[in-house]
Amino acid sequence: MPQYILTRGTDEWTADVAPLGEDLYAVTVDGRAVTVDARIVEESVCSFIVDGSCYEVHFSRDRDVYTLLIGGEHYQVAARNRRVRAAYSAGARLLTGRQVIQAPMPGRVVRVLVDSGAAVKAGDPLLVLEAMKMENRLRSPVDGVIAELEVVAGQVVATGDKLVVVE
Amino acid sequence: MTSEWDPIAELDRRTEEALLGEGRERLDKQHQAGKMTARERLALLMDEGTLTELDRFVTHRCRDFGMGERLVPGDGVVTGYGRINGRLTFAFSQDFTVFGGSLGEAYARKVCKVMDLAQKNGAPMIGLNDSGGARIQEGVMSLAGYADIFLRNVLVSGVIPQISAIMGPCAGGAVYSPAMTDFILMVKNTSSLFVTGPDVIRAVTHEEVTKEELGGALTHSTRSGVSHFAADSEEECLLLIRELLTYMPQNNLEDAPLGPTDDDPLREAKELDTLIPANPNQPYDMRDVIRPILDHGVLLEVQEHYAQNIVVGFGRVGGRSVGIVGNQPMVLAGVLDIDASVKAARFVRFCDCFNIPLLTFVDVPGFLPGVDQELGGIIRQGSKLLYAFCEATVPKITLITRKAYGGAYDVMSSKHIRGDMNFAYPWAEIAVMGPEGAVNIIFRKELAGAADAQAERTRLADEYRERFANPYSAAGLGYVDEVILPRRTRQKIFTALEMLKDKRDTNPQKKHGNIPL
Amino acid sequence: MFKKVLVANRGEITVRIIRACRELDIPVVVVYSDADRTALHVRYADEAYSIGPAPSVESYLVAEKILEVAKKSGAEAVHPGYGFLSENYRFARMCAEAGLTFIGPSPEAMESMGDKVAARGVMAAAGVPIVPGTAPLTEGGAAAAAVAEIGYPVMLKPSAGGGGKGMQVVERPEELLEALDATRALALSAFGDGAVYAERYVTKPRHVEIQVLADHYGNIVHLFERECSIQRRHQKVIEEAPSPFISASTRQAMGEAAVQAARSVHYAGAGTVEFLVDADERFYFLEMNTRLQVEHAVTELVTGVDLVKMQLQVAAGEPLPFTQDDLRLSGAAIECRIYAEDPDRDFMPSPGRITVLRAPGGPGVRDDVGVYEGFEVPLYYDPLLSKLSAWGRDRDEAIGRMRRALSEYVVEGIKTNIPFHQRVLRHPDFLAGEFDTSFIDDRFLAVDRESACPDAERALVASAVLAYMEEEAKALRTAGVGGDESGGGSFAWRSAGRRAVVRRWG
Repeated sequence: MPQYILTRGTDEWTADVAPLGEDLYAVTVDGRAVTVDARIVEESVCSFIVDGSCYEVHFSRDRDVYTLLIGGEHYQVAARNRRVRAAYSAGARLLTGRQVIQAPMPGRVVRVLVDSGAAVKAGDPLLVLEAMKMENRLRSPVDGVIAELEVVAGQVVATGDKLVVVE
Repeated sequence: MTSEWDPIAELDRRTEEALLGEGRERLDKQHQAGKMTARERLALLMDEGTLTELDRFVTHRCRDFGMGERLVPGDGVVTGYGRINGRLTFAFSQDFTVFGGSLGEAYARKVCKVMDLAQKNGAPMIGLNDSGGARIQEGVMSLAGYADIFLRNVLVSGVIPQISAIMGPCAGGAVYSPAMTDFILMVKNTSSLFVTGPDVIRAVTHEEVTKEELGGALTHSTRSGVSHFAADSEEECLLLIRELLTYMPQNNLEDAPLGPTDDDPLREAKELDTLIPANPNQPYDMRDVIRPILDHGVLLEVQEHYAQNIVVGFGRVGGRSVGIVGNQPMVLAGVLDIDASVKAARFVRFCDCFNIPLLTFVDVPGFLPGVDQELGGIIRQGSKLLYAFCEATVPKITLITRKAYGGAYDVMSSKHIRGDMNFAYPWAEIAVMGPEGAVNIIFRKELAGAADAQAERTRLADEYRERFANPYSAAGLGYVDEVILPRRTRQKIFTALEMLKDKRDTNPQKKHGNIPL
Repeated sequence: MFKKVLVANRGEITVRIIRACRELDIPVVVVYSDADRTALHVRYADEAYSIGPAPSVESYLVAEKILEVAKKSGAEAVHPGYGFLSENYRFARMCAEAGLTFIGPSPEAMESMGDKVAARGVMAAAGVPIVPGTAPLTEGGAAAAAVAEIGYPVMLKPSAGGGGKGMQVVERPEELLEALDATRALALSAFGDGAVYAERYVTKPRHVEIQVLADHYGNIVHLFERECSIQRRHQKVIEEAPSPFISASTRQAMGEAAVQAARSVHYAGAGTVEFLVDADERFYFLEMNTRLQVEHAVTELVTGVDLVKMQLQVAAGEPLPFTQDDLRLSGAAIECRIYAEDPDRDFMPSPGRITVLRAPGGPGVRDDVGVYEGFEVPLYYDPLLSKLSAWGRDRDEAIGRMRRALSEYVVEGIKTNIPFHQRVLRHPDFLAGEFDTSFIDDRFLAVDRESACPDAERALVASAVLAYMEEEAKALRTAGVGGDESGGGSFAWRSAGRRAVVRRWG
């Protein structure tokens, strides 16, 4: 399987790089194989000789996106290693379906932040529950609509009491 | 041996046959179900071209139930070794396309062989699970096979890292092998993990439940806490294993490899000076304190969706791998409860097994009160975390960011249980309990007799807060080594880690302790 | 010659003037704002004085501060460069009153040419052809009538303006009043004077200007033309000399007209007379710039005359060392203005730190740079980084050298319009010399970007190799004591195992 996925604009290619020795690499891009002699000659300049053809690349990198200056023109190519995970995706999308939000501990509802029927996104705060001398913002675990709102500000609740239902 | 027999061609033929398993159709079906084949998974898991497969031609010896007619080389599991980020790693990958990935005697022997190799060579063991369970036709030999694996899981537990990925069904007794490994990853939608399935449950207890609800990735990530990661896809799962391994050593005699050191360890994080709200009732996300301290702000959180009132995970400081434990004020005020204690305890013990220093971030008001907690055994479960921290001999660095009350102060890697470096922020409150609670007890008589009890309580609480809501009494006693400016946290932690890198500490000799279970 | 000269400017032109002064052994005084302490012009100067906060209105445009520095440093003359105070006749007068020689024409010449409407009047009187136009427009009906008389389409222009700013084309009578209001408002905010006049809009005109040089003894010469039709939104981008378009006779006629124009205001010093030239080579006076122009370098290249030195010498009272007959056009030159702009984002300015700067060299290449590697380009001023010029025996050679020079020019850390110049220099219409002032805006910017990326394949190979090298450099390293570097073996594991076995028999 390919080592790298290269992306430029909306186009994608696969690439493999294997070392052949001192500064020599076997590079295959979408099946096209070339032998590349590459040396970093200055801090952000790499000299390439590919099958005799010679060129210089001024490069800078931001994460896996390379900005390359070749022959006076700039190119932006993202080179993603196939075996390295892309930025860890937050798992807020973990849950789906009807979610019943219960009181995780005894406390007092300080503020209700949404109305019945309101549309909410995952992570939106629904109400503030004061417990353990702390204000806890209870957030919606999913995108949805407030189907049921069981409490009002000032109400005291016990562990497990149903507070809000998001669908 | 006839003169026409070409040994090379024979090898090629057998290899091709082995690679097809029970046939191309089954491999296609696996793809159609949105799953990779056993070998494809290993190819992605291992560095390009480093996989060496073992026992490709092993077949079972069962002759009952017409099994003699069904001999498939490999017998339903692909085993071998390769390199992950250049480091030797052993793995087995269950092949659902052969006998439904069911385990028989020969299959189990293959798995045991790689586990033994992993142990002898001191390298991690990865299990990719995708199996229908025991091979009924092989009867008790299947059960014996499982037991052989379980025994090895336990014998190498704490010797080499063991990681299990559930990439398909895993049911019945088979679940106990992953259960005893260090980390379990599950793939959403296509994997399931349970001891008894929905059908048996329906028959015995008449409860209705779907496979997904009972033992899917979501359930185990959020409710049961059995799994540590839920991946969106098989690819993400395998790449996550690769990433996870970079934080741990090959075995318990080694240190975790050093990561890149291009993030200045002395970097200041000015945002920390103002991040924590002055009002102690205001929550904040502890991860916003943790991330700026880590190299490139990268925190690999473990069990992110379970017991969210405590954060555990891996990171790096100055290239060095560290295990992080932190109370989460944003959830349940950061209290310690049953689930959080158990989640953190297991993580601490893993780090201790594998020489990974521990960084503990403390902002804890205490243990969660409640009948549920008491009846659920908070006494027993909460003490697991205390036990784990006490027992750990890896470098332990603790930072109290705001509150540390009561018993929870002791539990969270305090100086008294061999915390090596204990830091506190200038506004930290280290006390037996919060000001209101303390005042209610100390001045009970005075408050009972007071004209305006509430006002008096507030006044006394403010006085108390002024006197004790600071880290200096603890610092005066040497329980806190240094009161630090938040923006210098990273530099302080890095310096401490460097100082502690050759730390030696021991526990009295014993077969093993008796941690409350 | 002056004992000391103060340059009331910044950036590349100040560096240019310093160089000329150095060659004449004149010590130079410069001024700098807070943003320019480390600028190249300060580094090159003999004396430097701080004149306040970065915004020009608080520094480079404050005449009093400049004069104070002149007094303090004992400068005898002030060179205003271009922009800033260079066409401010009041400043010229203040210099004279302070006993300083203003290196430029008289305040009167500046005043009369500074008001564009008045300038047109002067030219008309001098027999120089002008574009049909109006006086400053008044309101409503009168304005409409005045404009109708000269005929649509027209260009509305601020009387106190210059440099192409604030101009608007009006195609039809219905659009006039709204456009007039808009142009007035713009003129007021940009130049402090809301007076607007209208000129016939010459369709598909070419912008050709003549360089003139005059001494205080009545000698006035022209140094031929510059073709400045490559403009983006009325801002010059690429200039060349000679114009590939006009014939020798037109050149002569325009030169004479320019000299005539200069004579009519008793001009002294270097100046430029700008003309619009239509498809039939009929030319019309546009405006006169009573200062040195940005693009003076191309004239210097094709005539061999150092215009800045000439300015100094003329101002010091020396006569011109040549006559019109001595001047010859030799070869061709082209200049590209290198700006800190992002051509992919509508040429938005791109300030920031220049991490890499490599200027081209080789035959026929001249780089007038005002920045250096490591310099933090400020946002307060014109984002001109340098002027790159190339000379060749003919236009083709000049273009070839410019293309080569552009490909060698490396600027990293900020965006520049270098790729834009390269694309223009590949365009067939440009190469054929067939273009006018509408070329960039109408025809060029719509060009397919992709066809201008010849090295895409190389970029892919390069990125893959660089990613690989990056990973090699950042590969996990073993941390253990006496760690086994080869293939990640476990030294501690091995040796602990051996010790355990050996000890058994001990």
